[in-house]
Amino acid sequence: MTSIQSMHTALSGLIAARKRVENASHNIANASTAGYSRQSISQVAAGGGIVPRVFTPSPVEAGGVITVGVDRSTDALLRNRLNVASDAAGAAAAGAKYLERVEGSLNEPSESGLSSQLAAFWDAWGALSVSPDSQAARQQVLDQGSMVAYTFHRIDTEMQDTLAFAGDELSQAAVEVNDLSQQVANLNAAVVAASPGSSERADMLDQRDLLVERLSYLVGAQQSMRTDGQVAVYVGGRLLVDNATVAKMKATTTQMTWEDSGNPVSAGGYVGQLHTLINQTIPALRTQLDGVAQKLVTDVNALHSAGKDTSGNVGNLFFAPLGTTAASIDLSSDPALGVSGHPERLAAASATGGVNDGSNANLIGDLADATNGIDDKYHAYLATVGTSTKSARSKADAQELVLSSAREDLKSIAEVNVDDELADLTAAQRAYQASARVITTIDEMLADLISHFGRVGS
Amino acid sequence: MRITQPAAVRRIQSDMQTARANRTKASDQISSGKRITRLSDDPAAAIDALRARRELKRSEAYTRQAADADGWLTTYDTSLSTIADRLQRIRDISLQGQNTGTAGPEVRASLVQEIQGIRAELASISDQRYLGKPVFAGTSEPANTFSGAPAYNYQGDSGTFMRTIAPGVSMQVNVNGEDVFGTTASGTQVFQVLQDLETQITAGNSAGITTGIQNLDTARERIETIRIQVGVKQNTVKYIQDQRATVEMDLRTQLSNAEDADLATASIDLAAADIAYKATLSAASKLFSTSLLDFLR
Repeated sequence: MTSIQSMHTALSGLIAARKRVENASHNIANASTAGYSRQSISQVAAGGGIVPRVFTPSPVEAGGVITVGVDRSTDALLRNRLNVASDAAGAAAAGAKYLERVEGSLNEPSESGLSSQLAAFWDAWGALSVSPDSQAARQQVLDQGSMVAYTFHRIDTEMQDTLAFAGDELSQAAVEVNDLSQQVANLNAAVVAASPGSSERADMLDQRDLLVERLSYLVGAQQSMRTDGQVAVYVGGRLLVDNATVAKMKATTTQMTWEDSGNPVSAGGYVGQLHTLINQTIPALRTQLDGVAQKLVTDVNALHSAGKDTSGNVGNLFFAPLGTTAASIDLSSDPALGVSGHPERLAAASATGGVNDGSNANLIGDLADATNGIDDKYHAYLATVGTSTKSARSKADAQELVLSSAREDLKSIAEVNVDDELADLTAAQRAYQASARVITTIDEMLADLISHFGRVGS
Repeated sequence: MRITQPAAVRRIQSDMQTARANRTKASDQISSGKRITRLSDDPAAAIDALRARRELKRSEAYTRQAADADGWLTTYDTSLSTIADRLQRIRDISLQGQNTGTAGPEVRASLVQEIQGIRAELASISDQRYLGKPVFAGTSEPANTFSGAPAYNYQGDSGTFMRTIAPGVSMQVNVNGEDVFGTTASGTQVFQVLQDLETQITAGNSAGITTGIQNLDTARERIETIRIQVGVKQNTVKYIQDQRATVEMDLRTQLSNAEDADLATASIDLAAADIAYKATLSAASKLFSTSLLDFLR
């Protein structure tokens, strides 16, 4: 090896050290960039690192260090686990968010909840049974009846608003999913074009992982790596992103569909849970509430129409008989039989009782205690909502923990630790100083050779 | 496991979040006094609380009905004792009238006059009202309960006033006028008996007076029986009113157990959460103050 070659060797050391400084600075700069994976320089000794082959003899004379490329610190298995956890966490988050909203619209236990309103309604009938001749007691029954109907309307309207809100979220999710898939496709193309082992390529892979993770959360997407570095992204068994091709999604008010075929997307994650909520959970809760309203209308009307009003008429209607849903329940405004605006039509007396009889009002008030009656039915409904909200919330909490543990596991490998980078930086600085010293030394040796060679005794 | 600075920061942040949440939860319980503010906090206890609340509301209704029942029964008790008192007097007068030896026509005339007075008084008792409702006329509203003199026909109906004074305990609180004063068909209707006695005493018919007194005794027995029944009902109402108070207390305890916060526990929780929060903050301040940068020069 010649001295000049040694100089080159030292120069390669200088360059290698500079690259390590560059790498450390890139890592430190991205220490808090979302999704960034720590990069490390892969360097091999020149000569020793390349396996000699028959027809390409190794540059035996060469020395120094060669920078092979940039490695990303990540783990495919942990990345996959994170995507699966995102899918489950998305579904659980949607469930908890919507059920808590439904629970909130019931507003129980409180003075304005339906259970308090029903109690006041039964109480008003009880008061009327004691003083059927009191105009105030009659008006009180009508007012409480309207309050009960109004409370049913309010709850149902809020549930409809919740459904509409879920529909809005669905269309926002469609826009976001299309945007994300397009970005994944663009990155696929860019990754193929980028030079292998470059820091830029590693950065692109990080970005793509982050996009796919978000897609997993939104629609339960899964990715599979291709040999050329591109990914295929699947949703419900269909390709969402195939290299640079994207299948678009489109939201209707009730579900997410594929834009080309119009078939529903069998999505997981947040959107998958929205499908269940919009098409099953919330409608079922509305139907169950309708059942309570229907029971109220049927039971009260059956007793009421058997009683007698102050003019001796039998068969008056308290609730409009056709309004048997939470949205449509109302006092009957039938011109001949309806009680709305006609307190004197309240049938406080039994069919055989006299004008001072209040026994029918008493019977209606006693509906409060009826076994499997209206109150029991409503309490059963509240129990359904309460327990499903509770389990949805604890599921969301648990999935959030699973997700954050999966994320921490990946980050423990991928994340930048500034202390580590500072140590690397210092080491690289020392290596640079040492290489520089080697060059100085060789330079001095050459100077000795050139200036002093052949001179004797001077 | 490799621990990076951001990981340590996140961990501290999440610990601080947890400590803050625990602290808020404990202080919320103390300030609101409630353990449950949403159904999903504890669905079973929330439903229990709703049930207890409904039972309490119903209990108020029972209390009101019981008070009303008590009012009715007290009215009857007073009226019936007055009636019994007056009929006793009639019996004395009749015996006096029967004693023809001492009772001359003038004396008999004055006796008859007293009976007539009492008859008018009884008629006015039969028209007595409680809270605007005639008490002896069933559920109807006639001008006079017994009218169409001299026949004294019953003008009311057989309607009943039922009061639910406890769950499943329904009680008739009114007494029908015909049950007290008797039906025309029975021959012992109080007003008829009185009119007969007046006639017999005026005529000085001793045997007729005896029959009259016998009829009067039948009527008095009937009224005594009703008085006893009213008295029994009054006792029942009183007993149930006392019992309702105990039941209400139980319900309030139940409600409180279901939804009220245990202040002692909540205070200890708050203190513990506070200590945990301060410890987390102190750990955070130490953790962030150290870095390799401090030692590189």
